[in-house]
Amino acid sequence: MRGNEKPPMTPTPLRQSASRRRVDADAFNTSGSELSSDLVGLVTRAFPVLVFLLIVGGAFAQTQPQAPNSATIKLFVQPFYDVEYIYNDTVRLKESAVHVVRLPAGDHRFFFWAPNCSILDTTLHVKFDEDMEFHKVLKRTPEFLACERVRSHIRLQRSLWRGVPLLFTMGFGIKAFYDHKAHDQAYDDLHALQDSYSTLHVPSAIKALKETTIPAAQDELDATRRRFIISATLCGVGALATVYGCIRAGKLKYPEYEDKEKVRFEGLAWIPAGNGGMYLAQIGVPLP
Amino acid sequence: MRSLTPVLCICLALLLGCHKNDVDVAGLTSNPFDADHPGESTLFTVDSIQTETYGQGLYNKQTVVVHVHPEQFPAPTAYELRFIELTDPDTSYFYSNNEAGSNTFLCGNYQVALGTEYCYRFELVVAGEVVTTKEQCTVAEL
Repeated sequence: MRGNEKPPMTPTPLRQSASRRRVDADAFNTSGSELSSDLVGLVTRAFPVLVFLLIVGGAFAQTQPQAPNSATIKLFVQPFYDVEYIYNDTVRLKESAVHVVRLPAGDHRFFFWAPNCSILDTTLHVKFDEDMEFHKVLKRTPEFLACERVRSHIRLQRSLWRGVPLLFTMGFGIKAFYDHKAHDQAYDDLHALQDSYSTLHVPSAIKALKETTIPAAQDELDATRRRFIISATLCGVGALATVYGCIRAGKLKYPEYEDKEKVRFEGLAWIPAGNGGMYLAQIGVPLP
Repeated sequence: MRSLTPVLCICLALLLGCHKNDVDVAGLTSNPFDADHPGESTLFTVDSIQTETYGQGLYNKQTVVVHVHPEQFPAPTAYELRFIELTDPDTSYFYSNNEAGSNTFLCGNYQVALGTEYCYRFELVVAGEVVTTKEQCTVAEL
């Protein structure tokens, strides 16, 4: 759609016809009596254009008259982004915020639609010279809400498949790092004790070193080694689980949502937006 | 499988990183102050035991010369040498007297009877603890 383009406040064809008429009037004003022969030629050449402008202008004057028996309607239809509407089966507009239309008194049929929302088909009764506001929030389609639920469920599943093993890996990776550090420290302590043996000169201290201190340090080294192997192994398992989780999460596909209301809205009237577009012919074949 | 290879390499490197040698406590016997030190201690040696007369020839004594080898100590430290005469029922300690700066000790056992065997025990003491001992017996003969 043409969501990023600002539509005019009134339908484009009417504005074009008015400007064209102004241009033609200026052309007549600049002519003089001495140029009567040229004027006749100009009128002759411009006659088809004038006829065309009169027809087109008349046609739009029926839908968008600037007559005094009209009223202004302010449309507050949410969601404000990308709301499109068709009124009177002829004019299609797209508005991102409050939109103001001026309509003649009487009933006007509106179709409001926004992506992923249900079409609102309503008739607004415009009273003579009585401005009004129309507030409405378009509802999401049940299919879209169901699809969103499935999407959020899949999003959660993908996050879990990726996140949990990753957190597991990171946790045990950090633990393995600190366990390895502690293991290094225990190793250094043990070998510092071993080095101190050769310089000790008190027999009881030597005995205590050999019977108590070094075995305790050895036990600590074994314990740190055991802890490090466990945490490193779990970190490796977590890494494998992360790879598997990423593969598994990649296989989870989001469901594709088909906006049937959009198709229905497009089928209501293929009318170009007010800020441009092109006219397309449509042939409807009634099916039995 | 290609994505698993770096992971496995990292795990292998981590596991190899924990290969730390243990300390063989039983193999720690190199300290001469250690009771498990193999062989005969050479921290001190009994150089000689000689019997002499004194008091104008009326009495006899045994003089024991002991030499300490502090260069074999694991670290420079203060020490003392105990000299114990075992033959006398009243075992007595004779603390050595040595010259300042010397590692040679002269130990005297007075009033020995000629022809009698005297046994001595020598103890090297560091920080109040006996590091090593030696015993030696000899007959008092002029």
